[in-house]
Amino acid sequence: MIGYMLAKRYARALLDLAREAKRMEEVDRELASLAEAYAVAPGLASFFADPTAPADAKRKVLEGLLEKIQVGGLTADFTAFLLRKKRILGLPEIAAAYRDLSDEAANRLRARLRSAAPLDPAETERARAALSRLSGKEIILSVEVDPTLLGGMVAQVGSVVYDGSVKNQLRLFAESLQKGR
Amino acid sequence: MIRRRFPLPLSLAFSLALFLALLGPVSLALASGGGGHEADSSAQTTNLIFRVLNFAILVGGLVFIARKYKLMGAVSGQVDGVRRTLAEAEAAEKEARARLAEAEEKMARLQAELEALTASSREQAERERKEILEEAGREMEKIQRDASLSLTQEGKRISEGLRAEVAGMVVRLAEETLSRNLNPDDRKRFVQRYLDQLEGMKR
Repeated sequence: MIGYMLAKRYARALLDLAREAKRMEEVDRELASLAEAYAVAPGLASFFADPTAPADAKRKVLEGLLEKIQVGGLTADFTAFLLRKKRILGLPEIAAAYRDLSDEAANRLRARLRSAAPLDPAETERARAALSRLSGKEIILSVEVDPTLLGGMVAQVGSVVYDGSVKNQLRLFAESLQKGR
Repeated sequence: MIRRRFPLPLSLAFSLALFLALLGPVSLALASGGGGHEADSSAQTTNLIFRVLNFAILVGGLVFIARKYKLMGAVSGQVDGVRRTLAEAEAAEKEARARLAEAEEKMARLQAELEALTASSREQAERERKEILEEAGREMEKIQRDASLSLTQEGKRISEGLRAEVAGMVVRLAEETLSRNLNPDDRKRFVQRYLDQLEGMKR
């Protein structure tokens, strides 16, 4: 953990380099893969955090990891740099900050769509297009199925929520009953 | 009370004068004991001389005694004393009268003050009684108002509690019913409606 501000500084530097190399999307994907590896293997972070572990061993583990998830070039150099600077534990935060910055640079927004029933591609595309029109930005949509919604969908774009679920309608109905209106 | 007391020499002088006065006629009687007409005339003259002499002796004795014992001065001092005493008594009487008048005036003033004080006390008591009654009235109104407010709030709280309970029951029942009865077509319709609403929204 290195904190959002520091992570953003590293991410901005990496983004500048990736933009020059015209590899912004590729770096984004590679960082996301590394962050996912951290998430699925908690022992990895513990090993990098262990001050008694030799630096050489840490470097070899990192190289093995990069090779396994097929990360090379700019991203590999950047992670090696983080290891030397003892900032490797902040990789997930840097990946998130990089994503925010690259989305901003590409006029993109990530949206989360929850639906009570599975959506077909046409419905997903309709939702994406509608949200894109409302936000004025390209929308990268992640879709989840949530049966507790009972019916309808809930879309969240940044801090804005479009709640059209049956569960929400029942909640509003209950509120109106409580208020006697 | 004024007491007149004669000194002892004065009483002695009176006793002496009385003795001489009684002795005079006895000597005259002894002197007129002879007979005859001529003898009567001579006796009368002698009697007169004795009488005059007797009177002169009486007066001289009285004067002597009075001078010896300063009887006149004492009498005069007594008179002055009596006069002084009378003057003092008169002044004391005047002063007493003045004091009496003053006391009467004071009494009258005290009476007026007492009446004023009584009236003021009554007025204050009446005012306090009114204030106490008003305060009690206000307190009673406040208690009634508070009780009414408390009742209203309690009623509102119960009503809200009931509404919340009913609403919760209705929603739970609705959720259970919808979960059981919604089929895939219904769910699709909800999705379509949501997408229509999303597409119909303005930026």
